[in-house]
Amino acid sequence: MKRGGDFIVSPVDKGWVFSREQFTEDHKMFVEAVREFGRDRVSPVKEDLNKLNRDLSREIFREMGELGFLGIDFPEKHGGLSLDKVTTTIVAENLMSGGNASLLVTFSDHTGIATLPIIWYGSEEQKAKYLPKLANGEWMGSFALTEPGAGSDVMSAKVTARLNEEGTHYLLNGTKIFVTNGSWADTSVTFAKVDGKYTAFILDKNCEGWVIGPEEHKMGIKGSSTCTFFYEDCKVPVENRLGEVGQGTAIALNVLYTGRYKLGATTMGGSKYALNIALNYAFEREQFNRPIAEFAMIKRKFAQMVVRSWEADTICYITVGSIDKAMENIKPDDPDYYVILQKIIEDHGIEASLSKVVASEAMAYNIDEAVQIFGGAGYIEDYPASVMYRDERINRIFEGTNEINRLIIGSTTLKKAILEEIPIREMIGERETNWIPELALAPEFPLYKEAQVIEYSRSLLFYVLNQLILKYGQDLKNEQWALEPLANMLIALAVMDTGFKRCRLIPENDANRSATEVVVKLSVMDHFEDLYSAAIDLLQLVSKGTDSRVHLDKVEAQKKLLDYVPDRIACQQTIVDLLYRHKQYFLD
Amino acid sequence: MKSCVLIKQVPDGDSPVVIADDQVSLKGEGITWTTNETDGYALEEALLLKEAHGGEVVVCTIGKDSALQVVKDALAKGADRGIFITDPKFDNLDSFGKAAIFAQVLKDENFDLIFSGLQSDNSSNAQTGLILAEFLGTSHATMVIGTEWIDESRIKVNRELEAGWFRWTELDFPASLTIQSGINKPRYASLRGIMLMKKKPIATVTAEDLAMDEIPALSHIKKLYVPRKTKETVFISGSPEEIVTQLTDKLENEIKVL
Repeated sequence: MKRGGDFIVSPVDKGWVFSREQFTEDHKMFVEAVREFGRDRVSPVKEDLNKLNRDLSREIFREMGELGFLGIDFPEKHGGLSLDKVTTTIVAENLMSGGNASLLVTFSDHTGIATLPIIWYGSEEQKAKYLPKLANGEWMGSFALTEPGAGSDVMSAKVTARLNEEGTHYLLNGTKIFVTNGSWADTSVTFAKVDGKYTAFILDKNCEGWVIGPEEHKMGIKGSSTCTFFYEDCKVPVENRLGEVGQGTAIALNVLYTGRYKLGATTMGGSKYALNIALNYAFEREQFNRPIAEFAMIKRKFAQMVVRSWEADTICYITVGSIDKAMENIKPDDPDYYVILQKIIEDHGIEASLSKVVASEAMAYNIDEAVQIFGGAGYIEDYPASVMYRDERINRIFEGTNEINRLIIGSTTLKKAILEEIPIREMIGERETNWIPELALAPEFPLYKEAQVIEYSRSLLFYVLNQLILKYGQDLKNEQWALEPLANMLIALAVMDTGFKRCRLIPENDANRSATEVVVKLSVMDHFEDLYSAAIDLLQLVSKGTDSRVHLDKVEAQKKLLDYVPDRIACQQTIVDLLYRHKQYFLD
Repeated sequence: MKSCVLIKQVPDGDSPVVIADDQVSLKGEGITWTTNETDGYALEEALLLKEAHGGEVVVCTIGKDSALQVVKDALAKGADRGIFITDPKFDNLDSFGKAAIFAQVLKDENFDLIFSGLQSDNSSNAQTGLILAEFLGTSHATMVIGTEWIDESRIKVNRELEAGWFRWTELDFPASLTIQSGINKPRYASLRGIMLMKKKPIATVTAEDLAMDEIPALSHIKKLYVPRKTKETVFISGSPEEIVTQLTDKLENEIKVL
């Protein structure tokens, strides 16, 4: 896979996906290096980092810069490493071994939305001035986009910029809110309307009139800085305009794609961290003379948590692996490198949103269960679960709420179908009469039945999508009653499809292969139910006023042919036995 | 200045300890391998001296295939080249045998300083660095908690003694130093360091390369076993006199402390 949305149209017996099993030696050593830093440097001070602690946060941030963690996406010429996107995901995921979400927010904001606009759109002078210090951690960046009246609706922004009479400076006026790294930042990429045209600017500490408001009192991630910026005739030199006048929306939207898959990486790491913390506790905590880990209801929770983490891991790495694959023949010194990169990242908009949604919801699921496993202690601040519970919540809100991301998943798929960027129309026709196609898999293949279930699911998605297009046409992109369940079908298909493909690429003699097969079985069970139920809802929706039985009978008749009789509890038992043997998440 | 750091790969402290069927080694399954903790401090000390006074840092280990990783990790942190000694004949050696092999491999390198960790986390013998000094005829110091460069031929080291006492000593080069944890703050591998690692040479040495007919050994592991917990509480009841009689009987005849 190296085209965005490819998972929708490539059957399970075809198509390539990237996964951690394909890490290079460098990747594996990066994993260990970052884990060591998280474990030895961050974890011992993780409680201190839960309080707003500028000096400590900046100290660790600087060390991360020296180790290269901040400069992965930066060009080598300007103090960076110009490494692949898999490495950015590795670093973000494994920094969670330090167990502190606030630091991760500071880090992710800086390495994503706060610096990428300068890397992608900055002039040579701007890059030379800002990037080396942002790469080595001497400076911290921020990204000020949201306004009191403009969140995801970027275009309703009110902040203005006008040239002064001398033509030397833009004067910015207005307010930006919820700015991560706000009071600690040395630079800020911000946006304002120049004669009504949305435009990006780089602020630094020399800009007079950049007033930083007090810290927000947040529900969680309390150790990260979040402030309001007031621009009071804020003087920004003309040479600090980023890109062209009117290019602001494109800049903002393009970097947000990256912010999404990066958030996927941190939350995927967080989901595993939460699982491991809860597991340690379940073995320590005894009730009725035995560790609570021995009770089946706790075991079931852990089995599901393993599956959620593995799915998030799969989605995050197929996304960045696919971007890297698409970029493999483009050299970093190519003058169009960043233009091509942005196009490829934009092409992976569905996957970027999938990473964000799947991983943040996996983390939410695992942390909620972690609190439950901690029992009463989960509600007490002296134990780790409660802070995780509060910290987690923001992940389903920032970088585009999960609702906005579901809209993107649904509407981008529609767009790709209409523009025929991927052969969805062709597949709709092909699958109309052939719901469960012949597969190039031996019938004794351990996941043969799951392969058929996934292909049936794909056909069902095409069937439903066709009915939606017939009913709504292009207006489907505005029909949220339809788009949300459609996005849920796409999410379920993505998880099942890429999970299967990942598993199939693991060599049969690999120690993790048979365990992964069981994880895929359970994953398919869960997501097939989600997908089927969303399909029924959508068919009812499109049938409004007519007889839905025509559709439902067809769907059910094809489903019956599957003869799919999964054994959920047996899979859960196998997974939890393996987890207990390893005493930690074991599929890395 | 030319330094060598001896590094050992050991199981991570959290790894499950399962004894293999041969009863003299551990099962590899489920073990996470890592660099011996004090060897990490030894490496850092060598790197700091190199950064201050120039020279070369070579890392050397004896181990199975997986042990190559500790050499690579050290190269990623800044060592200049590696020597990886590996052969099935070198499995389960004692400190004497290892030191003999190290001496054979390192004797022609003419190192000014040989660093090693004070002891390994798995076998805790604290001998290899010392025996090696004997084989190579160098001066040596153990439990080193500080170093001070004097000149091209001498170094001053602070040794940790018992009961909170320390002692500064001057040593002539060549010298073998065994390093105590806490002497410095070991660095982390940077991403760039990892990328540069691949360009650094690692020489592999096998039994065939060494003109050693037999590896000497002064001790042999006969059997490994997990210590059994034999905690048992016995309640003595009766009148005070009866309790005293029973207790003294146990102390005299069972525990034999009276």
